[in-house]
Amino acid sequence: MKVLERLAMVDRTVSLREDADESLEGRFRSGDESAMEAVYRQHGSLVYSLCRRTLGPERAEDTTQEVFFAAWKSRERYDPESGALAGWLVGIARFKIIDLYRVEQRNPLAPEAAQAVDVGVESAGVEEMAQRMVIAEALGSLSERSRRLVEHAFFDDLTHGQIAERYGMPLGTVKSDIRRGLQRLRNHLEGFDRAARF
Amino acid sequence: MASTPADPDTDDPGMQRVLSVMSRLEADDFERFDPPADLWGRISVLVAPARADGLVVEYWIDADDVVFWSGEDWVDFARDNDAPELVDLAPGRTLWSHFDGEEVRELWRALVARVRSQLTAATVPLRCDAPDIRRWFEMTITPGDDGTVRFRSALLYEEPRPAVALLDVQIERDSTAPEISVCSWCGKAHDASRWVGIEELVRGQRLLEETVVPSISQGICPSCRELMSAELLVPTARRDGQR
Repeated sequence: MKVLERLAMVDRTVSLREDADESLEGRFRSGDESAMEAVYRQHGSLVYSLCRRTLGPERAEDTTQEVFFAAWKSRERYDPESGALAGWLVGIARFKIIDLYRVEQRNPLAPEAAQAVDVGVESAGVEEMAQRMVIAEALGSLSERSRRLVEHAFFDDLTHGQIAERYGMPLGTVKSDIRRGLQRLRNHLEGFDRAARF
Repeated sequence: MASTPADPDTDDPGMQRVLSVMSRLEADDFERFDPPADLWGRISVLVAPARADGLVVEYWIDADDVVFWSGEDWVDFARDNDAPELVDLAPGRTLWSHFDGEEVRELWRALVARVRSQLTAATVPLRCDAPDIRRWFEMTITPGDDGTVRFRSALLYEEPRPAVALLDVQIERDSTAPEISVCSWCGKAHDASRWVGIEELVRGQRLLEETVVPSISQGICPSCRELMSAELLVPTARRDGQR
């Protein structure tokens, strides 16, 4: 079997997974508890990793808990059509982390190091890191073929023509695959933008 | 990271933003840490439909901090939790005299002082477990007239568990053993340098094998202290208790 055919099979699998993701997001929004657990299993490490990188392991645990509880309470405000759930969850996490920084700065009982933090700078850093992690997550969610093509185009600086030649693919297919991949990445950032302080 | 090849879609601002973020990606952005194994358990409790039966425990204190009124559920709750001293409150006894932990008492006093001075309600989470039941409450403290304050604790969720002797007031206490501090807000217990679930502490200290157990005292863990401190500093609600 040719590489292209194998990748096409993987793509079909990923397409089924994406359908399942959409179904999961819908069930989550409608208040299905089992969907909530599936959402946590799917995105818990992403949210926890952001919290851990910005708050350290001890506070990451409680903040992750708060993020998922807030997401559950506000699930009806999540619109699967408006952005990916992973981005939305990271968007909520970003607010929780920034709020925690602010509370600590106002809090005379907080450790001296926390009081010395410039909240404006730290908030910008959290915002930036959160967006990068959303994109990294979205890249990881692409089909093998799309991811390879996007990586070649943007990280290896290959032209679409060079990629098409390397894989023996029609140029139009390369372009449409890359476009679809980028749209999925944008969908994740749009989910991020839709999140609010729940 | 590499520059972007020309593509019609990249004129779109949304797409330009994607490409911009991509160009700043770092290796660490792809790294994932697994959350602690018990974290889903803690979240699932919060998202599960409340099995609570609507229990609300309510009482008021006057300007001198003496409990002058308590709802019917107070008596039932105190009786169910083997706290006979709370069934009939001694006249003139302040609320604070029921606290054995100084830090916890002072935090509550500070919170009540803030409620009175700012005429704003405060809402805090609270654990009030029985030996065989985990209970999560939400307490709302609301200012009343003439310095009175209302405490209203609504049971959010409860779940059964194997009885924990350490929490059973009928079990004999070892007066020579160091007291175990239990966080009044999250229910975790202080074990050496860590705060852990009370069942984990019982397993770790092999208390199941003991016929007498250490005394416990009301405490507060660092995470809850942080939350309480924040609650003390941030006005959160109007006088009617609505957030």
